[in-house]
Amino acid sequence: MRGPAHPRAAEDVSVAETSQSGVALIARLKARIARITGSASLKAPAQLWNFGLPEIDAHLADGNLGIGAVHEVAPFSWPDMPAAIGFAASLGVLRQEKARKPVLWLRLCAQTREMGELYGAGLHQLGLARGRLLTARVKKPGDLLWALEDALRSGVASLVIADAPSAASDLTISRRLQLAAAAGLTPAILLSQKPMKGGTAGATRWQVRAAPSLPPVDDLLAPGNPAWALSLTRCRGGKPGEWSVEWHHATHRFSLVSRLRDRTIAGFDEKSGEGISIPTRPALRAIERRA
Amino acid sequence: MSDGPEGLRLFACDGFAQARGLEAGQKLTDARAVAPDLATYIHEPETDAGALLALARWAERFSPWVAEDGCDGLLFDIAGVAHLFGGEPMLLADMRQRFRALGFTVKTGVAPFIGAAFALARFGGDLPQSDDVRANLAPLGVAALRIGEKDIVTLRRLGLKTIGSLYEIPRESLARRFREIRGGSSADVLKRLDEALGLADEPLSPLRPLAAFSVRHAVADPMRSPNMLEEAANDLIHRLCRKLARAGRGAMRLSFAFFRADGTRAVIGLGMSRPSQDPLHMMRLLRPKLDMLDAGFGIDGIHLEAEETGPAESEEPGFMEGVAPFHHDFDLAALSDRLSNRAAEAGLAQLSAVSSHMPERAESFTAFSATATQMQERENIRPTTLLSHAEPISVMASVPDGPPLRFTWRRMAHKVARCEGPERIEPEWWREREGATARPRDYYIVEDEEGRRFWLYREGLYGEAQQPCPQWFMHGLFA
Repeated sequence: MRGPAHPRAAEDVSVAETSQSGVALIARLKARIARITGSASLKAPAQLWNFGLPEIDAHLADGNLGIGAVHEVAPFSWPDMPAAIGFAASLGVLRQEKARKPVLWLRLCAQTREMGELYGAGLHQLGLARGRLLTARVKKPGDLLWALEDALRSGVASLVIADAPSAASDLTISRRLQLAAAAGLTPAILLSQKPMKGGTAGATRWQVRAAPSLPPVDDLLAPGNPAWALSLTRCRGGKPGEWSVEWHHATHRFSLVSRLRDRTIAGFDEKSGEGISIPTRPALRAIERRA
Repeated sequence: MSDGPEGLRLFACDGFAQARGLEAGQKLTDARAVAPDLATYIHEPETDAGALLALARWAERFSPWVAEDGCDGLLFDIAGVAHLFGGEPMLLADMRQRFRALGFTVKTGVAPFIGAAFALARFGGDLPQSDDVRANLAPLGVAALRIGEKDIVTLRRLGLKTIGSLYEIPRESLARRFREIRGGSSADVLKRLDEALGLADEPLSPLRPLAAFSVRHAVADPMRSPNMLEEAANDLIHRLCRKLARAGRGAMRLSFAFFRADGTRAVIGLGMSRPSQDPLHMMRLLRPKLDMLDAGFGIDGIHLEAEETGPAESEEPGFMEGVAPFHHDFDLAALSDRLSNRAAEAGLAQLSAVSSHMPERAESFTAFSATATQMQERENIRPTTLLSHAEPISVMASVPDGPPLRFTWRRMAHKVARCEGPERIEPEWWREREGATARPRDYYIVEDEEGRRFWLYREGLYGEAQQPCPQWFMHGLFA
């Protein structure tokens, strides 16, 4: 908007020019926008929803996935769907830590036939408290969108995870869901079978692929903690990135793992030679030794 | 006409036939002799009963308390209802007019007792009626007393042709007289007389129990526009909620009956997971269903009834909080209601554990409002999703009863990279029926080279006598 410059704004800019710091200017402007739009409360610790990993969080807008926003999660290919479900569940665990309200999981009947029913014991072992998880099954995709919008707008859940019908990639529908999420201050995770294409109103778009796990220390032949290759392909206000992570269900934490392909530690800065501290685990050390 | 042991007989006949001297119970051959051009139809009692029931349902517009009376009558309890129609005469006029519009010949009678109403409606004709039941009944024939054919004949022989003539006979002699003729039936005459005069109670069993909480709305001009219907429904809901609030109750199940102008009716049912007296919530549940309502030629009456109520709960969090996390969450309950009334199969569900070690039985979806069960957590690792039916897969194993090396599921080959197991799960013999062939299962958690994880099992053991070879199944998927 062009017009007579606001005296206060002009002052801000001049301050920024003298301090020679564009970053400070942006931070200051963002703070002002937050004050004006009233979204300052989103910065409260209870509203922070991120990975707890600086490497990934740095790519997110304000280091936060975003509470009143829609997030899209899809598998790389069809067989990775369980990994995508697990990733959504782990984000639900992180959300449950901050919010008392239950996590609501809306499922399409067609999808339950394909991938099976949610299994409470297994989700519990991933860390998603069964006593604070509610599900509903819906037959028609249209009804699912309706239910999703209602659930988001009513703000009764801390997070709504939903099987995304193909219509969810429609810009109008996605915009509507985004508005509902913002109105109810409830985040949504849309789990679609195929990555959504084109522009949607989603805040982030993730693709998940199952990755070989690091074996537990007591049994080198057994599968270890769930491991996923994550790819953040779109991020509003942030930047895309790719990571390999492991989910620790006992501590409810993600950790970066080395890519077995090239044996480099993710987050390792080759120029400076400094590695970012990763949680050292016996198993990880074991495999490094073997290599 | 009806077909009985005594041949074909007339079951009922209309006014024209009666004018030509025909009467019910006459032999068809006799009737044909009198009126050769008689048109006859086979009497179908079941069809008639069904039609009467439908008529009774339709007639609920006059009173919520309707019962079928014999095979050709309807009984209404109009206590407290008549003033809605502008008094008893207006109610009767409305009733007669509407029944006639449906093509029925109708006779009406109003009395404080069922027996008297029966007599007046069927035998009263156009006699002027006063408030005195005894006086009203006195000129009627004894047949109006709902007594047996033989008793009527006996009474007539004794010269007791009208009900009024019975008043003067001492009760003892009436009772004695009929006991002498045929034990048991005497009670009938006296009992029926007492019932008609209100000396003995006679219960009316309506089509269904009267709902304690019901409101109705009748309009002169049939409503067709959705806005008007919504407004009328909203008004009814508010009235019902006020009733509920006064009684300290909340509605669990609501039933809307929309009476169309052509005599049909549409019913909309709403269910709520907890007792509610919130008109806004009810309206939100109703609105999507109202949109789908076919108003036909217009709706001239709506009846709203709380079919099931429960004690209303206050919104204040009680001591139960924490024990049942969702029990007091009213917003959540409202969302669940909206879902179950529109889209979801059964509202919000909670995953609860069932005491069973068979993986497919160990979990169930229960309505979320149920008290959260504290479940003991299983030590063994379980998948994130469980397939609704275990799917047969082809597996290659190093040794027959060893862990799998390769397997093919849904036409995709997987090479096992890591494997954990087996975990043996024995069938629950106490659940199996006689001769069932449930076999023990050995479950493995496997990870393929891509890092995808599966939960598969081998059913049966090698070396069992007279058993087919063990088979492999895919049962669940891990994150």
